[in-house]
Formats: sequence, C-alpha cells, structure tokens
Amino acid sequence: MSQIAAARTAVSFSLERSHSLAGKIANWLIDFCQMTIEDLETTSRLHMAAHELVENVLKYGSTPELGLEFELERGATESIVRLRTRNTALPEQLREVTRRVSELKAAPDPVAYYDRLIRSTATVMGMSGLGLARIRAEAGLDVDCSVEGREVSIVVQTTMRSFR
Amino acid sequence: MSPPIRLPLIEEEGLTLGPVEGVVGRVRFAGTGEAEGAAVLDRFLGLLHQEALALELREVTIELEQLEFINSSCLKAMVAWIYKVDTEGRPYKIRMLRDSSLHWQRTSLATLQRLAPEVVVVQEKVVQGRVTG
Repeated sequence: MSQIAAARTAVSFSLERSHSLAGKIANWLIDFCQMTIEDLETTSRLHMAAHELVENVLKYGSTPELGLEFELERGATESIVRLRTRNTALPEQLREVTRRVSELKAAPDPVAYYDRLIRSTATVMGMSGLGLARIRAEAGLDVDCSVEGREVSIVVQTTMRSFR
Repeated sequence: MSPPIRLPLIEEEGLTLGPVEGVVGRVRFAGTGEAEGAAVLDRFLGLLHQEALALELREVTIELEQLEFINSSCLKAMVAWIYKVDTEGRPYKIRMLRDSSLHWQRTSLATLQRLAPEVVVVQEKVVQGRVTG
C-alpha cells in the first residue's frame, strides 16, 4: 500500500486575467515543478495541462482574478502532483464544465472519448472544447472539478514514484 | 517540376510559419502556439491548402521540430485542416516531421494521425543522416 502525504510542497498565485501574465506564470510554475519533482516526463505532461487550464480560465472566467496552484504531496514510495485553477464563471458555464468533466470521468477509454470529441467538433468554428479531454487523454492526468457558489475549481493530478 | 509554394513568412503571436526555401511543398513551424496563435495558424493553413491544390501537390511536409508547444486551440486549427483534406477527396498527404523528445509532439501528432490515418504521416526528424526518436 502506498504512503502519501508525508510532506507537502505547494505554491499558489492569485492574479489578473491577462493572457501574457497567465502564460508566464504557467511557465514559471512548470519550471518550479521541474525543480521540485525532477521528472521530465511528468513535468512535460503538467506543462500541457497548465497551459490548457490557464486557457480555460482566461476564456471562461467572469471576474478579473484567477487562481493557479501547484501542489506536491510526497510519500515514502509514491507522490501526488496536482495543478488547480480557480475562477468564477456564469451559471451556464459552471453547468457546462461540470457536464464535460462528468462525461470525461465516466468515459471508459479517455483516448477513444477524445478522438470522438475531435471528430465531432472538427468543423465547429470558435472554441476548441478539447482542453480537458486533451489533459486526460494526452497528458494522462486525472481531471476533476468542484463548484462552490459561482466559483469552479478544476484539479488535474497524477501519482508518481517518489524520488530521494 | 512544380514551382515552390508561394506562401508568406508569418511571425505573429509567438508563432513563425513559413515555406522552406527551395523545397517544394515543405513548410516549417516554430515557436509556441497559445490561444491567440490559433487564428494565425488557421489562416496559414488555409493558404497552404489553397497552394497545395493550385500546384496539384501530392504531399505537403511540415517541419515541426522547432514548434515547442501548441495548445488545444492551435491543435483544433490543425484538426480542421486535416479533416478537410481527409473528407474532400484526399488530394494530398500531410507528412509531419516531429521531435519525439517533445512530449506534446509524441501525443498530439499521434492524435492527428488517428483522425486521418490515410492522410497524415508522422516521421521522426533526421539529424546528420540518422533518424532520431
């Protein structure tokens, strides 16, 4: 049985909704992540996730602020790395993101789900709608969300072997 | 011999997109494609498609090794283009030269290949006469 949460490293930002600022913070966060977990493969997967999450927040957030957080729970044999975004959104967007995440979590094969989504939206102009499914299928991270009032928090995480 | 593709060199929104000089049907993408880059990429791929049809090319090659990352908005632009080629008679193939040391290129180009396996060919970059990856 794995032992988790022996030690915790976390860093979080609350910042303005600015494309350039959010992109830079995401890159900084990934650099920090690389220094912390020393696992290039996992860092690359988190890099993809961070950029998709930030884009989602910038597109769908309804207030000038957003939250971005990196967290590492280090156990004796396994560790959990986690990225989280927080933002407020309009009720219909809260329902939409909840629906998308529920569908994604229920899909028995994330890659097949992603492929179907890509095909079904290939001719749709505008929003890609692919970000969360890409995180699940291509980055191989678990995706979850929770809504409290008008605030949505999206969490992506993976478990990795602990290093010394 | 067909004349080279007459495409502009575009440097916008973190992306550099343009033809490879002296090689027919070959373009090079570099940089990073975030949300703002999707329209830029979409416009370039539209021009590339028009040129490929006008020149009756049988294959278009894209050098992607210097494309550090694209997000799903830019990926969507590539999906739309590939889907169009695949569903409108497959007039040409699309060869993508990747750097497999970049995680996103391993996963996202595989995604594009699954979308249109008869159109998309993914190939490792060649360095000094050897294939990498």
